[in-house]
Amino acid sequence: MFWYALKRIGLSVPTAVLVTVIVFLMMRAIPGDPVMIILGDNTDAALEAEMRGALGIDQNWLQQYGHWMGRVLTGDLGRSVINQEPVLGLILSRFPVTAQVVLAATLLALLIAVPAGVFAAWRQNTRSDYAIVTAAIVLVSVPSFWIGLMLIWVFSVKWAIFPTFGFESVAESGLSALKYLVLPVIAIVCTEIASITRMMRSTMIEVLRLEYITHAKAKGLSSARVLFRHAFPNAFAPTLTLIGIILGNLLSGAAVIETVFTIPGIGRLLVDAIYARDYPVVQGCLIFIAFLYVIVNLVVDLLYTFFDPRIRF
Amino acid sequence: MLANFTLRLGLAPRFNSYAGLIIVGFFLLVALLSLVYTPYDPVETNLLAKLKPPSATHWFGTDPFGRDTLSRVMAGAAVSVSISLGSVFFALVMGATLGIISGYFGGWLDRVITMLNDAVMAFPGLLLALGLMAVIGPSRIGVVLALSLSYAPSMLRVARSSTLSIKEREFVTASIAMGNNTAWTIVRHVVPHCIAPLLVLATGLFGSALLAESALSFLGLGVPPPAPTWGGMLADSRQLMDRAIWLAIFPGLAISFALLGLNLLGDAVRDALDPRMRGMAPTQATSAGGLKPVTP
Repeated sequence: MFWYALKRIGLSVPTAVLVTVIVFLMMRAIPGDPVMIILGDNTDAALEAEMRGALGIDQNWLQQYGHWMGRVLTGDLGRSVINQEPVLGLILSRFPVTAQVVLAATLLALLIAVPAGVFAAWRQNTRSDYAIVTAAIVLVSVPSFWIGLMLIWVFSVKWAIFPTFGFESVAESGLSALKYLVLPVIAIVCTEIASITRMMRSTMIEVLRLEYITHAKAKGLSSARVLFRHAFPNAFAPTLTLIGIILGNLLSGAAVIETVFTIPGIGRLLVDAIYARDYPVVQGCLIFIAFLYVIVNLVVDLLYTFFDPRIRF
Repeated sequence: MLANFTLRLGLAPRFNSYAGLIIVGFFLLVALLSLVYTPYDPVETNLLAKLKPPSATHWFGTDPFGRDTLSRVMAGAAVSVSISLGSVFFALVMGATLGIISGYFGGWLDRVITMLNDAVMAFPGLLLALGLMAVIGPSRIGVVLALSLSYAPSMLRVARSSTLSIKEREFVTASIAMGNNTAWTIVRHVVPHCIAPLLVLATGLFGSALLAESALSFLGLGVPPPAPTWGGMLADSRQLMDRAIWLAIFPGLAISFALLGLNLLGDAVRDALDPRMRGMAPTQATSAGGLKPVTP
């Protein structure tokens, strides 16, 4: 297990390096000369040359990448072109906001969807199964940003129960900050429960067909024990992979739900930087989210051995 | 008639596949119709008719510029359909070509392609598309390019693994032994084997592309205005929620129904072409627009 973990961690290093190469190449593919963008109409040859030296773009690509990578590894993601703030600082100030919403939503979705999926599988081809399956395929088709808009309309505009926009950190403002979390979390949860329920149901059905389940039932074990002690651990692993994918999607697509509810998270940071052509910030956000996703996948793979007793390394 | 049609397509004659086919067919028709007819001009402003609620003359109401929402939703269908079709098509062409080459020839070429592909796949959901939109800038071609590059890696993986499983079979060896050239062997014997799994993936990806396109337009990083897009219309509706809720309702319903149709059809196509995956979750819709197939 230890060696497997070490090997798996080692395997994610080349992926992380290639991610930086892709981001680097993407940023270099932007049409236009960054010096010209920064200096604007100022065409002082000496200043221009000095700037090139400072940015390191008088070197060849490989040298540029080497220098840049060196700085990334020490946590220096450059400075924002707009307000000169360090990019890493900007990201770290925004990320907790996104993390709160995403984690709360994923956790809540799991708490609803896993039992729903297990229940639908247990009652396969009955009315309750059809109801759950139908609800899931309908919910999976409604985009969360539209659910968000409709929630705002009903609960903020018409009934004024929840604030229309804004955000306070739960860590700082305590329970009163929860009112800002409710609607965005519901909007995300609606879509996520659908996909998790479908996955949980289908893998559970596969497992419930196996002979050891028949055997467990024949021994006279209770349904609950058969479902949760015998079937569930074997059926949960694919859902775990799905959760990894969902976390990645939520992090990369955070901008959408953050726009709906005007939440100042990392998604808004990225999209605003794209509007403002603030490329150091764009680059920093891309690398940060991609690295986070590499780590999420790593954790999922390691948890796999824990949840799926058939996998041994 | 419909039963015959779905059967000929190899789809399970079930209610869901009919519903999926009907919904998707309806949106395709609307998209085509909007090219020749919409009740009003979807981009022409008419300040005399601004912010009218739904009525007999404007079924879906009008926006603050007096533009007819029904006409804009119809024209938006054409944008969404063309972009999803375009991006899935280019992803399929790129992914299948590289995947088959990679799987068939193997060796260092295979290793390099697989490694690069894995790196591209390390970008979750919308992230790669967002980054590419920053580079390319918002435009119709830009969205197609960004989405097809995001989806090509999963196509590549499927094409590569199908190729690997087929290239050792006797009829491929026989084709080579008969002196057929490599290109002919690939086109005649390898490509047909890859079509079914790629088609399953492609149907699933239509929904992803549609959702991603709306999400990008919603963020203002998709097809730029004044072209009507469902996502863009939803973004504009945010400021008017207290006065003109119809502006938020109809584009959202359009996206949801189109996605429902594509998801139902996707399930049906997968059940018909890939019995092993029957009952598995199809494309996993996730909020924020990043639909991704479960089998990466």
